[in-house]
Amino acid sequence: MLRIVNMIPRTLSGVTGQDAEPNLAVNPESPQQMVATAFTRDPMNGTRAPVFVSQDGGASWSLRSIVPGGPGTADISVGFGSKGGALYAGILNFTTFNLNVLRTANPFALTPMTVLIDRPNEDQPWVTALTARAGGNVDLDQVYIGHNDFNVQPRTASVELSRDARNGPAPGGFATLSVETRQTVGQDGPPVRTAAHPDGTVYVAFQRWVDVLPSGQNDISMDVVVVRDDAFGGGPAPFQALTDAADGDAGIRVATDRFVRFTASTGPLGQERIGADLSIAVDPTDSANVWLAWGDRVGRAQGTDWTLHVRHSIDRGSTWSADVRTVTNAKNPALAVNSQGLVGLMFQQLVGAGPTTRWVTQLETTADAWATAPTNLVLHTALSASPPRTGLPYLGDYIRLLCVDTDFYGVFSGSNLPATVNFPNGIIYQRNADFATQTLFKTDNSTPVAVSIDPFFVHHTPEQ
Amino acid sequence: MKELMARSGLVFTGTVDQVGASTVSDVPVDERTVVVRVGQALHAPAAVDLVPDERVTVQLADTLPPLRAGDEATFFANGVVYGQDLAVAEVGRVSPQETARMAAVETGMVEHPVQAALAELAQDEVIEHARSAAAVVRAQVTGLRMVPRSGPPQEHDPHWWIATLRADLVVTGELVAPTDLSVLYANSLDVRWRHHLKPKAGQGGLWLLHPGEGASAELAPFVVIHELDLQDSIMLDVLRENGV
Repeated sequence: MLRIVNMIPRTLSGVTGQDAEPNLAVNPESPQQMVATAFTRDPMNGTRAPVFVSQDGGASWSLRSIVPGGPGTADISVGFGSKGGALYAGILNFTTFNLNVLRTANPFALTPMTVLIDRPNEDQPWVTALTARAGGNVDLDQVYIGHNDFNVQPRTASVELSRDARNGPAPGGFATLSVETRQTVGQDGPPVRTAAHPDGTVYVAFQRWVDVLPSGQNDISMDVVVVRDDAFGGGPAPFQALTDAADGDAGIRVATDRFVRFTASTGPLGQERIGADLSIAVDPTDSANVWLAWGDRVGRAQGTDWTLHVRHSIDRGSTWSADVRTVTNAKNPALAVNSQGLVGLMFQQLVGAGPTTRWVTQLETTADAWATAPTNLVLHTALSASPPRTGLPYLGDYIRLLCVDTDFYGVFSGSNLPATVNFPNGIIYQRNADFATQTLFKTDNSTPVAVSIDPFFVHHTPEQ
Repeated sequence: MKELMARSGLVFTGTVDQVGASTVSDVPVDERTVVVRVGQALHAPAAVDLVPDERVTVQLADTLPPLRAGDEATFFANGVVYGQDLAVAEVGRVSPQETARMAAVETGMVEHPVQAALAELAQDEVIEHARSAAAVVRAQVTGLRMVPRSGPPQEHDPHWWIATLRADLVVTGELVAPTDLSVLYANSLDVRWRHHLKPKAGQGGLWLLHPGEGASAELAPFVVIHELDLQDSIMLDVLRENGV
């Protein structure tokens, strides 16, 4: 089963914003309940930013503004605890640009989220949460928020961590911890990704920026690093469980001296910026089994590619495979592993050449680490030149894929042109659209609306 | 009217269809929850298109009298839930008779009072913004240059540029015209900065200049960030009439 839904609700059929960079949380206790985010602004331009919610498994979505800090966010990521239904968010506040860590016991109520952390000089929070006894007799929400903390330069790759995030007033047990142990060029790359397993294993992946290269001030030499903790991040020396034999420092360098052209304000790949792609996922049935994906430029300074790499470890991150999958001219890798060990990789690839290039969003699943051809599902395909961008990121610096039991749940952003050919595996639109004339309409169902970037939800149940 | 408009993003006329009911499942229902059939949308943001005969759930304001089925009103509200149907929270209410009376009292008014209030609010916002500026000048862009960056790139870097403005009139501020001014602006298209004002070569008008803060103050004496920081020169008379 594969279901793809345009998440813009009918009453917002007039939306024309660049609603990029989506994120998703699925309530593991009740997978019919979901919360998603994007760079969607509050329709009233009010004092709180919106989230999308669904209580019917993603078949329909509505919007409500419960995120404090202004009508939008400059980054946002969400995660549910695995029990109890509390939702956590990490945002860059639209007004102050501070990192805010937020909590709500019930995201389906209409009350604003509570601010637990408010700190400047931060970037790209990424929320992972689970509920576990963690050595005690009471279930507690363990929350891990990867973030790039410029307050601790040059070792900026950090995790904001709480061992009991659901209870207590601000800061809700949260404290920050740098997971970078090596020297950097002054900072690490923006993405810091976390993956947590109920047995207490927590992986963190980040991009160590080693040097600015002579070929240009946006050209970076990067190492891809994974650290691990075996006790929910709660031991005396957290995230020190992996040591790189080559230098004796904490953190395995899975790849070294990778070339990155970091383009914050230009869009060399189908109107999109590049330079910060990273994903990590742990097998829910075996915490030794961990998957990693990132992007770099194989052709280095003379190249034009942006290549995704996927690697795999079966010994808790101590050693890693060679690339088991590469995808040329692609971004936004999103990995997840289901309860049967099936690995999912969602990504967005620029396909073709010249004016006919298309962004093709795909979901691949594999049971044998791509040793044989994976199941490949094209979720969305659209001309990369349309609509013209209004800013960056165009599609987003990330998308997200999750698993609950055997099912894969994901979100991505792309052109909302209502064209059947753009959705070869089907699509459901909530907003008014006429696929015969490829036209969007306002709520009155007669006034045309310009094509823009919308968030899309995907739910895939693999065949047993 | 203006005070109500300042607190509400939606204004519409309508008739109460049901009391103690909702078209949106997430909205808790009590006797102050009503379903209103829209008569006319008087003001709504571009993304929200209130259509005549659309049924909207309204959480009535605690401070206002309850309504019965069949009651008519002009509702001032803000959105609460946007789904298949819309739910809003009422912030104010005017009877149809009162709306008609206001329109009649405003002698010679060609606009609906809601539209007139909106225009007045927009003008007030510019005036307040001008009052907060360190200087207001009439000027034209004569040069644009990038501020060299030091260190590695950052995702949300503002990409500071400096615009040179040639000012021929100083409206407020400790400046003497004619003069050339250096003004800092964020040229980045990143999500944090893309809505910030980006001067273009040759662009002219009234510039509302603000002092730089922190490290940016060392780059130029003034900064323009807000979308309102550039106004048509025709706003000069409005600003002067309002004591700017």
